[in-house]
Amino acid sequence: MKHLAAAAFGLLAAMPALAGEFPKTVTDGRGAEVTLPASPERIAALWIGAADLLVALGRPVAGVTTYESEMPVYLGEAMEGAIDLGDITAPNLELMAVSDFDLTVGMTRYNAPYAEDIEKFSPFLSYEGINIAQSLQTVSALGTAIGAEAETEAMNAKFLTLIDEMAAKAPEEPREALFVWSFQNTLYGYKDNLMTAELVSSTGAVNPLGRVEGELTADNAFAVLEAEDLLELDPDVILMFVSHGGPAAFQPAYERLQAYQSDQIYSVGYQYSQPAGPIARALVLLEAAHLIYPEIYDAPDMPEAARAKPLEFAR
Amino acid sequence: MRGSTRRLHALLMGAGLLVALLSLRYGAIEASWLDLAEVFSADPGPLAAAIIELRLPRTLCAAVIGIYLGVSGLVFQTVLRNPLADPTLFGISSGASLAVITAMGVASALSPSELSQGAASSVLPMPLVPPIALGGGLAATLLVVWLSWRDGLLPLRLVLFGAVLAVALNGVVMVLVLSLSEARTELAILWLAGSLYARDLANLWPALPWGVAGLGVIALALPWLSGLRFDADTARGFGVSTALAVPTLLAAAAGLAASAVSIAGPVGFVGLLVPHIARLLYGPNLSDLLIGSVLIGGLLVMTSDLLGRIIAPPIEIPVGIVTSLIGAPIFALLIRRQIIRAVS
Amino acid sequence: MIGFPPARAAGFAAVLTVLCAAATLLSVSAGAHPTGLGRALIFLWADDGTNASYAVRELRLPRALCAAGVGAALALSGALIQVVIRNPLGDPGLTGVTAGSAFGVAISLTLLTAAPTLLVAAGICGGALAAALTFLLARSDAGLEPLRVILAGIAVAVFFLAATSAVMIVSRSSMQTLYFWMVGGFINRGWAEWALFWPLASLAGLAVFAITPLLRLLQFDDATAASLGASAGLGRIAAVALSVILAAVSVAVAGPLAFVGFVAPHLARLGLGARYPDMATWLAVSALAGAALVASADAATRSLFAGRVPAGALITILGGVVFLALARRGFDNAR
Repeated sequence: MKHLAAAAFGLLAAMPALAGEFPKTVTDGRGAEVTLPASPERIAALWIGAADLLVALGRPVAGVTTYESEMPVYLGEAMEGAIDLGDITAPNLELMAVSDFDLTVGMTRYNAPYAEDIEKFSPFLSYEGINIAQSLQTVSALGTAIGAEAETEAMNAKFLTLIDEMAAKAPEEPREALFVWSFQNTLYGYKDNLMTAELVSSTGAVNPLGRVEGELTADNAFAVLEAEDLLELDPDVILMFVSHGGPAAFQPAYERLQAYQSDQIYSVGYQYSQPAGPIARALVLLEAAHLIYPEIYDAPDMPEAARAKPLEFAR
Repeated sequence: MRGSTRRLHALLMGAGLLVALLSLRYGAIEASWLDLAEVFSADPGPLAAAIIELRLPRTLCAAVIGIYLGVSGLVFQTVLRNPLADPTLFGISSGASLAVITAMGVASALSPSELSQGAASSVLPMPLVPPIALGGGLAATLLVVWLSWRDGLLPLRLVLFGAVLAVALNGVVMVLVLSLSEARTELAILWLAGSLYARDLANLWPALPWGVAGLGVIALALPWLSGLRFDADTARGFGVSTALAVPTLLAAAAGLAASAVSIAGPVGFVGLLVPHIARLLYGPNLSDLLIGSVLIGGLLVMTSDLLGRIIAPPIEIPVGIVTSLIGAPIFALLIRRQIIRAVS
Repeated sequence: MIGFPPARAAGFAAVLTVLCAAATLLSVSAGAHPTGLGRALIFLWADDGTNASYAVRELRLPRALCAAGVGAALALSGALIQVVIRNPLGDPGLTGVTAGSAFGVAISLTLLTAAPTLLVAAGICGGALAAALTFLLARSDAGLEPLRVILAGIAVAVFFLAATSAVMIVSRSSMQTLYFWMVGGFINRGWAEWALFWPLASLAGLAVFAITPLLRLLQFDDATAASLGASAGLGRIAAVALSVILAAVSVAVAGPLAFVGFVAPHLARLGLGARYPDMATWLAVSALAGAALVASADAATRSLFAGRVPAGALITILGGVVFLALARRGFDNAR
């Protein structure tokens, strides 16, 4: 994990020195320069990572979007006062117009195309959290933008310490763990280039799909898995995010998988689909560590609704 | 003009204005008439600002889409002498969709690898979408016409080729959507569903010149259109040259439909339904039908957009889905009636 | 019937058979487990209990069978429609069946929990519902006028496409995955799907060949058929019903694969070198061409893209090109 620490350190050094004073101009994740006139109080989080960060800072979340109609349950009661702005891909502009937000934080790939519309009503920053390095970068950049750089630096440092501790505790003989995003018969296996898989591997487990070296394109960071691919990979543990919840589609080939025979296929919570925020990334790391190495790690404290459960199948 | 026709025009105009006002008043947030009046103040509040910035442009877009598609449908149905003709069934929407999705794919391929950099700012700029859609729609129309041209345009061949081409192009669109990355997929599908989400006047302007020109041509060619209601020989008897009139009118109608698609993506069944409703209300006089189609088209699409916004807030149901769900069953009934009439 | 050299038909059928067999063998021997052709054949002969053997016998074989079977079924379905409407542009998509099946599957994918059985059942129900609607709309005392069937079919197809979009938007599905299914393909299709597919498909296929005498009459216009003393109406209804069944079971298994029903009968006509080949030969060769086409597309996407791309993508693009190349000429020849 040394390279991560180094990357984070480099970012720290590059941070503007005059953080904390407003008005201030920041450069967001899509490379736009945005001027914030005053310290933002009412912040809308179109991107769940931003809601996560605000909750971690103990600040109110004024507005939040849903993903597949789900609120981020892992953030618990903190979301109760937030305005539901609708789906992350098309957040309701009218609600944004009248809700008097000081700042709107979006996700670059979904919300940046509509930046012009959002900017009519409040300053707009957008970020991504594709991998751990980018999550660290984003948390730190967003912290600077909202005048909480000290706290977010501490969060990042704490998270890097957690990763280092896990690396130290990792058993000699690593287990293989695979993260799969599933929609019925179609299974997408994440490679380590994507943050969820990277977190799972940070527990000391090995991702049988590995990592793409060389140029990353929009589509090579995951693999469409056929039953035969699963048999070939045959990981010890499978963490599956079931799109739309409920039981997963059953295939007879599962019965030959070690993970199936040892009851270690888990249905995991919302936070695995959007793990870039400081709370989500720690929860995913701690829970994955517990699921993969139950003899070393206890289950972390978290809302029950977000906790992993043994996967049920529709037969 | 008979008095009853004039009364009908006035009634529809009034209904259109009423729906436009309702469309400004209702949405995810309900405004009062007082808020609506605030629009004219020098310093409007946030709600009035939202009405000016969001509801007004999309209401205008909806009205224009409805007018274009309604008139386009009237011309198609009259020229082809086929009451089931609809511009969206002729591959025009599919051609426009294909062009836009291709452009999205190209933009995505040209942008630097956004996964590693997290800066996906170089998606297809939204203002470029209308002209691209227009080009694709017209290209598809030309293709359909070329495919079905044989010593003139047989209406039946046109319908069949249009439908098959629409299926073919839709298949290619799906494949392309799959080859885009996930984020682009969501945007592409929102567009493909025919959505007025985040549409503003910048989307409307590029579609205006074409539309106005098309409407002008159709208004001027109204005598031709009257003649073309009958078969080619009768039309010639009226002094209408089919060789000139048919391609001109079809090109104008296709341009109108493609312009409509370029604003918000494909909005289905409007071009089919509007002329039928107009005929039901106005009878056969073409100049009345033209004005009627303008009024009814605007009314229908504005109403559909309003419904899509207030059914399940904060989620918006795209206007194209609302019109399709309303239109498809009526289309089925029309076919049924057509068949019964043909038999008896 | 215009005659054609039987040797040519036999030769063309042989080429298609070899192509189909080669694609199936490639499909059975390629996959994540490196087995190669030789070991794959051994595993087919005898199960040694290993994962490699399991992959060949339980995963690759049913998938290859599904691909060839669906190709043949869709080709027959398209050929029947072409006969009924006396127009070589016929495709199961034009009867609304494909869209109806897709709608059924989309409903079960997004709103219900979907075991494979349920998925196939939903596809067949959706297809049958669409077909029923189409014929209800097109029915009249004068019988089934082909063009009306097509018009009604288009209306029904457009309705079900809109309804599918609505289901997708309302359920907030990840569109990419639903599109992945809607392009059609054979990823993770196994014996469960095959078991649901083959009884219905083979019964309908046999029935098609049983009614070829009736189909022959449909090639003529109604007056000629009447002068031959034939009941064209009965033949049409039978042909359309069989076409619907074949298309619905195919879509339920593989998703709405585009163009197969259009391209395969065309290939058969080209290969046989006759505009009006003998009906039974043409149907058989069409089925063979469909099987070869889809099996090769699946084998190619499997080997070239390692499962990333559904077979339907390749079929759609190739089919689209063939469609444009043949459509104008085909239509002109038809009249």
